[in-house]
Order: sequence, then structure tokens, then C-alpha cells
Amino acid sequence: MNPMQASFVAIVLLLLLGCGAHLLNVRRIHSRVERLENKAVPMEKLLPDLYSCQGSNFNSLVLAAWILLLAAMAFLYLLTPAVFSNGNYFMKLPSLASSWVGLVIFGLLGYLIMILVIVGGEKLPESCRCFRLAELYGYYTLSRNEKRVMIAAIPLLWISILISTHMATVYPELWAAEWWTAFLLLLASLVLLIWPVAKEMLEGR
Amino acid sequence: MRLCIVGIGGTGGKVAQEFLGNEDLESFKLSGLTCGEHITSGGIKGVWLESDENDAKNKQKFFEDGRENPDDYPLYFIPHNVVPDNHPVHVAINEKYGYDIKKQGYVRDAQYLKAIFEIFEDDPVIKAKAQDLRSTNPIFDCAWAAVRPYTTMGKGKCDGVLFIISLGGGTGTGFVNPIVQHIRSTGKGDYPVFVMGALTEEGTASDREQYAKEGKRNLGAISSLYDLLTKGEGVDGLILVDNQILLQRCEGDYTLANRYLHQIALPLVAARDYPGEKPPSTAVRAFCVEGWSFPPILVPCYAKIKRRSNPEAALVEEAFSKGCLFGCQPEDADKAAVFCRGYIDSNEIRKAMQARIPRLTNDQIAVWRKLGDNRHDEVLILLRNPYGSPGAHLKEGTLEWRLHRVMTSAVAYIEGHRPDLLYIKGYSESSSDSKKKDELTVTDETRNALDNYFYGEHGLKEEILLAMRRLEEGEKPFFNRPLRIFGLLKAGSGSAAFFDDECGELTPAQRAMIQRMIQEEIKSMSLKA
Repeated sequence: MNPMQASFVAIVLLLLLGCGAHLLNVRRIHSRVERLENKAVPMEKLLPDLYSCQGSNFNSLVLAAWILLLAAMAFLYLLTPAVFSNGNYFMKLPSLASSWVGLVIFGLLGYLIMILVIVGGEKLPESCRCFRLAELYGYYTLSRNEKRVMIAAIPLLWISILISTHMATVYPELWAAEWWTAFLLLLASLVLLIWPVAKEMLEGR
Repeated sequence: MRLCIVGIGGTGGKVAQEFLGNEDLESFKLSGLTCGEHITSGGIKGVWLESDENDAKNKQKFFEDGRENPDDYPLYFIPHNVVPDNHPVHVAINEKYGYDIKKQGYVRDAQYLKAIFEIFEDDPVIKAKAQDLRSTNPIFDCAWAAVRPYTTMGKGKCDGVLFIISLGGGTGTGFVNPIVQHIRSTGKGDYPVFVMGALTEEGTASDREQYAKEGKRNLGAISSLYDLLTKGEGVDGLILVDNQILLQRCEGDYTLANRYLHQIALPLVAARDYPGEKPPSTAVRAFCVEGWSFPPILVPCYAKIKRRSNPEAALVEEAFSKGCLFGCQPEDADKAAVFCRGYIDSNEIRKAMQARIPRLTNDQIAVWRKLGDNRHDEVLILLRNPYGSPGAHLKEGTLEWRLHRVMTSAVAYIEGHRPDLLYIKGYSESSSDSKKKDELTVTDETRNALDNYFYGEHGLKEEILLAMRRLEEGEKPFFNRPLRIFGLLKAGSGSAAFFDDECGELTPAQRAMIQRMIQEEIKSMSLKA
């Protein structure tokens, strides 16, 4: 496994860790409440009380950040064969990828997948509503400053996408420094987006 | 519990600002796309009622002018703007009573708005002239109209109102009782209304902020307390905060002090209630007023400690030892409402409370919990009437001691400032001509009424002296007789009486007072038996 492939594993692991931490946080609150109440409290009864609205502007921006995150990952790992030599867009669909709307369609595909994840999340039962991406941050206490910092992920991801696009257009000329810059921006954005979950997990011990 | 926060006057506005700050990211353009709303912790809403247009327009940027775009939020309202300049009501009140109801910032006297309210309520000539303003009491109706849309009585979601005022300014309490009277007059006798009142500190530190020197501020505070605590169907609880204690805690920083008031209120107003423990405001109100026929005094004691296992006893101890925002003896309290934030066991809280105040039974302690953040546990204890020990007025740090001092100062002011209180020409202490020009010239009718209100038999001075004696003897309550400024003149009795002998119909205040007197009589009879 080359370092670029390892970076992909790191991103996926981080995403899985975020999911796990979120599950752990909700379960921990649930078990604490049950212990204090001295009785079973159904999850579907706890979650609505636990949820507090973070605001439409923040929700919209943070969802946009998640969509961009998927797009940035796809642009970084699937536009050039540097990481997945057989699975890149230009090799699988060369005519579409090379057309003038090729990159736009590729980006929209990522957008569509993320929209499906968000809409699909809405169909989850009440006892699993904490996994709805649109509600994710409603289970955490976030100050306005924290929200501002998280939203900084959006420009970082745009820069990462632009760099990846540039690399795809000049390929096979690939500068390692450019690639790693795009990766670090992607990583930093992911850290910003899962940071409230990680913080709660660490502080809530 | 979802409260509508109504900041009144300068201090009220600043504190309300802390409660009403938008927690969402603010972007005008984005809000247009996302239909973004102003969100606050616990979904609270609110408004600022102010009397000085210059302060509201030019000295702050948080509240928007409600007249320019009613869709803006949060808004401020200047109630006296509802009466146009030189409107017959404006002219008539000026001619008959000498009060200029359009004066910016009003007159900084606690009795001023009380007098204006009584004039609108009682004077049929003024009432008739106000008809074209679509209200017989336009200033106070307009103030309520600004609050109502946020409440469940309008189209809003707030199931209770929390007024935030400074005791001693004049604007604050002047609006509270009239608005409460409106709420009660609509048949909503049980609509919860609470007041958080800050008593200004001793000394000269807040003279500038309050536009008044200590004696005058203390008289204002006592007049305000008097009116709030004697109103039969009045507020459901007066949360008393001593600015002196608050500022000590915040190292003299007023901004921090305002923030701290929001912080301590979070266990009361924030979101994330425990499952099944979301108390409607009516439940909190019912607990606060049960078994007490006057508006109760609630002293807040607050503690926030780092998360630990079994934090309940430590929280209660910390709240009582360091966290009371008004001097008091917790063991004198007859009830306690405990609002918690964090992972807290209700039974353990009750045990900790009973260890500290053994006389409280389980029924006399109500516990409501919310989930807080992960680092801290918090508790806000509202002690009901934590006073009533004979001789406690001599013990520093008690409620009796603090209020006794304020009352002493108020009586001294009444005795030493007759020209000021009766607006006798040349009363202004200032040597500047502009200040002299600002002097109020009331009519003889008003002056006589004020004379009786302050100095007459059963007047304010006499009532304060009686209240001081009650505090010394450990009696509860210390104020119990509502006072009016103009009522006595109509009765022609020459004393600050509270019944209108010539009037065939009882006012709501009179009815409430009779009810209370009967209740008190029955209570004392059963005690004797």
C-alpha cells in the first residue's frame, strides 16, 4: 500500500470513527438517563428531548460541507490513477470524463449520492433518528463560534476540489506536494466536521 | 417551559440581549434561501420595551425598530410613541396633571408610570379622549401588544413571560403591573408571569447608569418592590437579584454580570429537558404561588461544578454557600424549586436540600432537570420567601438586613426630599439651567395626590416604616397593602386610602385586596384556634 492509498484508508477510518463516536455518545447519554431514572427509557422517547435545533443557516451550510466532502474525496481519489489505478473516472468513462461537462457530471454524481444518504436518513425509524445527517449536530451543544469554525470546512473543501481538478487536467504530470495539499485540506475539513462528536466523546467520559 | 423574555428599561434591554442572541449563523442572504429563523436556547422569544428613543435608536444595534419592519427580530418598542405629539390625550394629561407623557426617557421616578397608569385607568375624561387611539389606556395596551404575539395568548409559543427589570430605575416596574393586569383581565388568571428584578448596588457606582443617586434609587426600588409584592393578581414570582453580589462575582464588569444572569437562567430556560420532565410554565407557576396569597419573593442560588459522580450534595452546598444572588437564610424558605442541568438524580437533590433545609418536605421541593453539556453540572435553586427570622435584619447577609437598609435609605430620602418628590418649583439639585428647565411642573391636584401618597396617613413612608418593623419581627410578608396615588383624592379622605368610597364598583385591585384581607383574617383565626 503506497502512502496515497494509506491516506484513503485514514479518511475512511476517520469517518467510521466519527460514526462510532456518535453512536457511543448517544448510547452513553441514554444509559446515564436510564440509570438516573431507574427505569428503561425508550430511545425514541429520549431522542426528541435530546435534540435541539441549531438553526437553518447552520444546518444548510453543514450539509453543504458534507456534500462537498464526498465530492472532494471523489475528485482526489478517482480523477487520477495515482491511488486507484483501475478505478478512476478518466479510464472507466473516458469520453464522458473528457467532455466539457465531464467534471461537472462527476461532481453532481457525488452530490446525488450524498442527497440520497440525507434523504434516506430521514426514513430511519425514530429510535435511529440520531443517524439522520440533517439532525446530527442537534444532539450536541455548539456555540456560534464553534459553528463558524466548522463552516470553514466549505472553503477548504473547495480549494481541495480545485487542486484535484487541476491535477486531473495536467495528469500525468503529478506533483506530490499538490496532491498532499489537497489531501490535507480534505482531512482538515473532515476533522472540523466530526470535531463536535469527538469532543463530546472525550469530555463525556 | 418556554418563556417570553421582556426586557424593560436600559438594564432590562441589556440582559434580554443575552437571552435573545441568535444561536444560528447570521447571514441575511442565506436566511432568505433557508427561511432561517432567529433561534435561541430553549426557543425563547422576547422584546425590549424602552422609554428613551435615543437610547434605543442610537446606542444599541441588537434590537430593531418594530415600526420600520415588523418582520424584523428582535424588536424594541417605545410605548409612548403610540400617542402622537399634541394629541388631545397628551395635551389633557399635561394640563390636568402636569405630566408630559411624550417626554423621552420619561421622568426617572418610580411613581411616574404608576401615576400615568392610574390616570388612564381612572380618569373618564382622559379615557374618552383616548378612544381614537383604539384603547382607553394606549401606552400600556401598546406595551402588551408588543409582547402578546410571542405568547400562547397571541400566536406564539411562549407559555409564560419573564420580565427583566432594574429595581430603582422607574421604567421597569412601571410597565410590569399594567401588563400583568391586562393578562389577568383577559381571564388568564393563571398565565405565568415572573419578574427578574435587579436591586442596584449601594454607593455611587450605578448613579450614572440609573440616572439617580442612591437614596432616590432606593426609594424607586422600594416603590417597585411594594407595587410588585402587593398586587393581588399580580406576578407569580419576583426573582430578586442583588447587583452588589452580582458585580462582586463579575469583578465589577456590567457586561459579564448581564452574561452571568443569562448563565444562571439556563437551567430554567434552556432546551433538552429530561424525558417526561418538560414542565409547562403553568406547573412552575402553580408550585411558586401555592399556599401564598401574595406574589412570592424568589431568591436564586446557582452553582456550576465540573462533572463528577454523585454531584448533588456538592451542587446544593455550593449554591447555598457561594451562589445566592441575594442575601438570605435558606432555612427560612418555605419552598424550593430546583432546576438542574446535567446528570443529576432528583432524589439525591431532594435529600441534599432537606439536609440543608430540614423543614422542607418532599412536596415543598420541586425538581426539574435538563441535559447540559458534558463538562459541568449546574443547579439553579429558587428559594421562596427565604426570610422571616426575628432580629435577622441585624445580621449581615440576610434578606432582611439588605432590604432594611434600602428601606431606611428610602425613608430618609422621603423625609429629606419633599420638594423633589412633590415637584415643587426649583426642586432640581442641579445648578445647570438646562436641568432646571427639565423640571416637571405638576398641577396642584397631582401634587396633593403625591403628598398623600408619600406623606399621608397610610402613605408610602408609613407603610415602609411598618414593613421595617415586620422585617425586624420576622413577619411574612412585609408589604401587604396596595397603594394608589390618585385613588384617595376621589374618595376625598385626605389619606392614602385604597378604597374609593364614592365609586359603586370595585376595581380588580380592590377586589384582590379584599380577598387577601379575608384570607389573612381566616389564616390568623385558624392559627389562634
